Amino acid sequence: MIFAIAAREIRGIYVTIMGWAALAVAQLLLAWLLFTQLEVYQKILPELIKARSPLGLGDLVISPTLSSAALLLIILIPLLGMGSLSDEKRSGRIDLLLSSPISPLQLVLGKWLGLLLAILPLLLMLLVMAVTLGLSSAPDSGRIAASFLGLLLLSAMAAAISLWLSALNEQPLAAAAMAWGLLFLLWLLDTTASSSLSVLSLNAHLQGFLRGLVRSSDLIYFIAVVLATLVLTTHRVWRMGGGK
Amino acid sequence: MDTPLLEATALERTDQGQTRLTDFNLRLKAAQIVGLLGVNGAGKSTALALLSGALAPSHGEVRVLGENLHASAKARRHIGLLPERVPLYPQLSVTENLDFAGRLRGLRGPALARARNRVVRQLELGTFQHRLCSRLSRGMAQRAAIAQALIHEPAILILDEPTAGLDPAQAQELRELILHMAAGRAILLASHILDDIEQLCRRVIILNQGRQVAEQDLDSVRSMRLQLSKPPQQDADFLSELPGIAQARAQGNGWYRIEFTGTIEDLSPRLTDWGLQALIPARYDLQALLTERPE
Repeated sequence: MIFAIAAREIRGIYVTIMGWAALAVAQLLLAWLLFTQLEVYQKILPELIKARSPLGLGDLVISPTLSSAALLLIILIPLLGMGSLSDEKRSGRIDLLLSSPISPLQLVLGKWLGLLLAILPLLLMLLVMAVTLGLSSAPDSGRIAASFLGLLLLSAMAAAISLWLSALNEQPLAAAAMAWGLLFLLWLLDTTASSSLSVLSLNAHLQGFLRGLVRSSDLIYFIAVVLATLVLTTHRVWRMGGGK
Repeated sequence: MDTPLLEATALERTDQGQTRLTDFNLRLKAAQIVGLLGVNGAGKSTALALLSGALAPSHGEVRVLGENLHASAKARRHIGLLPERVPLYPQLSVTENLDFAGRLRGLRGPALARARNRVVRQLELGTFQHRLCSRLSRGMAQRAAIAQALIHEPAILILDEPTAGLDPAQAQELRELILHMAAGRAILLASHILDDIEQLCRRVIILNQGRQVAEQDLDSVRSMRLQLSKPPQQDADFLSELPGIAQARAQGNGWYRIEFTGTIEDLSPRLTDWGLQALIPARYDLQALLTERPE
């Protein structure tokens, strides 16, 4: 049941021009960012060699590009997930889903998995770009792998938050706007907030992965946010069905 | 044979202190089409949501083939629902929508393909099966939505305003289809359109302000219009007092409308005494049934 819902979700995104357009625009932006970083790197490369700097392609090109990719994912995922549950409510299809033999949890997991799998092509293209670039130098495969794990966790978190806000709103754009607001607030927490609030900072937890560090505190942060928002979404769907 | 496919007992739904439906009872048996009638806000949609499993009751329970509908996923497999708004994904084709509905109800592989082909044939969707649902006419979309409700061969079909928005020819075609679908299954049909109820249902439940105010077996009630030249009174009380007359109303110029459960032969001697001029069959007066039960 979960996979049937996930498959329909993916189909729903990629059967429209919006899904493909969002993916294409994101890919173009990332390619442009990558080549800009590469151009800068090539300009400063002689100075780096002269100064015997330990900084390489991974630090100066791949990492900044993946960091920019994180921001792009924060913009893209709410756009793709905004209608996930709000459209079901607005169209009345939610009655059909709730009267079928699936539980609210199965419905939410299916929707979340679908959204996450729909974003996977972009992550895979990023991986291909990073690996291709790494072929010309000595690639730090551990760092690339950690970065992708970080981006995958970020995507999982953004998808869960988008889904939750889509369940709370009947207007998809309102859901997307609230998701952007929340995700950017979490992103910015480390730059402005006190140390107690910076524990919640999305950027601070992601940076560890982008530097090649897989820390348990960062893993727990992403997994906890994903679980909490999925529980909240399931509760919301359960309430839509009258709390059965 | 008397075991109901669906049995609702003392259903109640309250939201934020407001009672949307109270003390609703229903027994649906195989090959039965029951109509749910009520003005806007009477509680029809709430009743259908509760009976389809889309909404849980605050009190009471719905049992489908003996199992609690809201506690058992298996029980929900026996329900097919056509909501008021066509529940199709517009960006998917008819077959994709049918496949998704089938998968939600546990159909897979060859069984799903067989079920899809069956409903496509049954609902005559062959020409349109690969068309996007956003490009279907209202009538075809309604057919596709019914196919979606039937794909898992449910024992109980719940239809909310099935002919709303259809032109008269499409509506008549759909009514014939519903009659055809009733073989072996129970159908609960909510409609504002009295023609739907008159043509399809043998039993009607009337809701008003969230309460079940009447339940009428239409087979047991016959309606006649009669004209008397020597009525003892202008109003219809003298007719109401006759045995077997469920309801009588004066319509002016000596015309009366009666709904009776006995035989006309039993009534004839008295009617002759009062100068019976004409006696003609009338259609069920559902409009009166609906509007004359405000409390």
